[in-house]
Amino acid sequence: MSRTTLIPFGPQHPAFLEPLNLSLKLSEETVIGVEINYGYNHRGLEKALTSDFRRSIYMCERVCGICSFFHSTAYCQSLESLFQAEVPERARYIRTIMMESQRLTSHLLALGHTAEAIGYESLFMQLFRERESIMRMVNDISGNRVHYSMNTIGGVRRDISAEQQADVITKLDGLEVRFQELAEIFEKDPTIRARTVGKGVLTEEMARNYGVVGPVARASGLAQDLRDTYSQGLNFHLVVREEGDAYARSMVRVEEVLRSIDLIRQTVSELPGGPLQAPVKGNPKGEAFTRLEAPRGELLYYVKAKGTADLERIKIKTPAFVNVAALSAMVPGCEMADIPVITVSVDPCICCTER
Amino acid sequence: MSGCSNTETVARVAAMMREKDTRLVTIVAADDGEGTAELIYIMDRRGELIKLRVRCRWDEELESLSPEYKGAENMEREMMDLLGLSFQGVQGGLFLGPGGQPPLRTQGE
Amino acid sequence: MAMLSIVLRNLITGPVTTRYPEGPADIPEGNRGRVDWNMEACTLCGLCQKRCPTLAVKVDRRAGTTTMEVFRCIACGVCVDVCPQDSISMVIGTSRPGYIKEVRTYIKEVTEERAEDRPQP
Repeated sequence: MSRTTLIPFGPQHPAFLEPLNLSLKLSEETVIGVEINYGYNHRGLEKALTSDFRRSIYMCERVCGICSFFHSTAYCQSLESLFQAEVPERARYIRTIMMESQRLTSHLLALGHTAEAIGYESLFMQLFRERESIMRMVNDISGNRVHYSMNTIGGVRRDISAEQQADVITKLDGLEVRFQELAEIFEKDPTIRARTVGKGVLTEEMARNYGVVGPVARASGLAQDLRDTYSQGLNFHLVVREEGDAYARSMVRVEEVLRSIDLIRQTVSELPGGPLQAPVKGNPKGEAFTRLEAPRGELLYYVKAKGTADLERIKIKTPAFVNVAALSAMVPGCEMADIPVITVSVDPCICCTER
Repeated sequence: MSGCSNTETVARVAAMMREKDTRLVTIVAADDGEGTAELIYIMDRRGELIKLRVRCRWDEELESLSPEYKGAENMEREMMDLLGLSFQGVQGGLFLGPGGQPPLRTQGE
Repeated sequence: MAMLSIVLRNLITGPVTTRYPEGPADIPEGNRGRVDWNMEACTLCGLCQKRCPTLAVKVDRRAGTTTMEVFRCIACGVCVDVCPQDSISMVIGTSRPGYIKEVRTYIKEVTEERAEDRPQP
């Protein structure tokens, strides 16, 4: 009978980019128990967002830096449904383009961090180099790299010009070729396989019990993606894998990068003409539920308004909130050295989790 | 274990969750401004949202969904922190430390 | 092995980064940089103050000034959109790190006729 050791992992840790604390219980090198401690990044945004509804569009983006556009789109869509505003076709297409571009940056970031957690610095650098080209692309379209400030209630504030459309297509063509090369490394490299295959397994049953969403759910064999339901007219199909380990989660993201490239190409080529914004007047009243498929999974906004400029209640259900909790099912049984890889493979976002 | 305002709703949610195509999206809690709390259990069934609403008092200890469904534990802990609700067998302190006023409450007890 | 060929290719093609502080920064054309007021066109209507999401802008009609707290500004461009006189513009560029909480003040040169135009408080 060996003694158990308690090791705090995080909130400040070289392998962790996020302020999350895992209290690990070890028996020799094997993790036998874990307690996840939150609360290092809680900003009370659900309360703050209930101030003036027009100002909140920009604060919504600050919930999370990596999926900022998803937050503002979900928020704007909720208010559009309260105002019963019909968003112009062109604005909807531009939103799709921006969302899928942001999914590219998010997935490339997650893959890069997985490579870094393994210790594969060259691959990390290479992935971030590709990510930078997308960051520059969205910077050119929206005016900013992270917080696009492009959404408004009723549509979008910036247009995509014909030159920018051509630029998007060229950039994506280049990215696809270079990313295929990196995808092959991810798939076949013996180092990556040795560090990720069979690590942090989340079975389908556990995935259902923890209610995980997004790539984490899809890597555990749950075929759920909101884009499947809402991407009318676009050619889209799900990426699902059965293994449920860190390798499967990375591979789901690798595949989804290619799917997103494909989706952006389809939307850019079919971009319809017309206005960008629908007029919106007065103050919102009523209740709205909006869901989107953010890079990490399902994002839900619940907005309740009572007819004044201040909103009554906003509830944000972020994907990371449920995904991070599932770590307590993945981690037991693994080795101490695999903790960074497993945590990063979930793509934890504490900004989203704690808001 | 019975007698809470939400016992029936929790049982219904748990029954629905046993079906393969239904999952809990989230639980929304809000202060309705009339001295009670409103809980909305939101579920997804094949892309459609099902909402079950229940009203409850601030001072009662509510039935927890987490024994049935692990994913609900953090949602309940968050509600305990932000709205000052309490759930049977669930510890608060997810984001906030002990003591202090629950920030999302508009009225006191 | 696949990585090795990428690494060797990178060795030949050279760096993709720019030597920014020494050389010019490589900023895309559409970048929103920082806000600038053209006070000749400004009528001090105060719409920018009303709609600024971070309350960074203050318009003082009496003194004829518009002040902007640089650290509060998030460069969203709402003021540029709402300005009826098109007197606000975004200047491409990166902002410098600040040592103090800089507050930029734009002063409207008031001529005699203009003073009469101003609504009486």
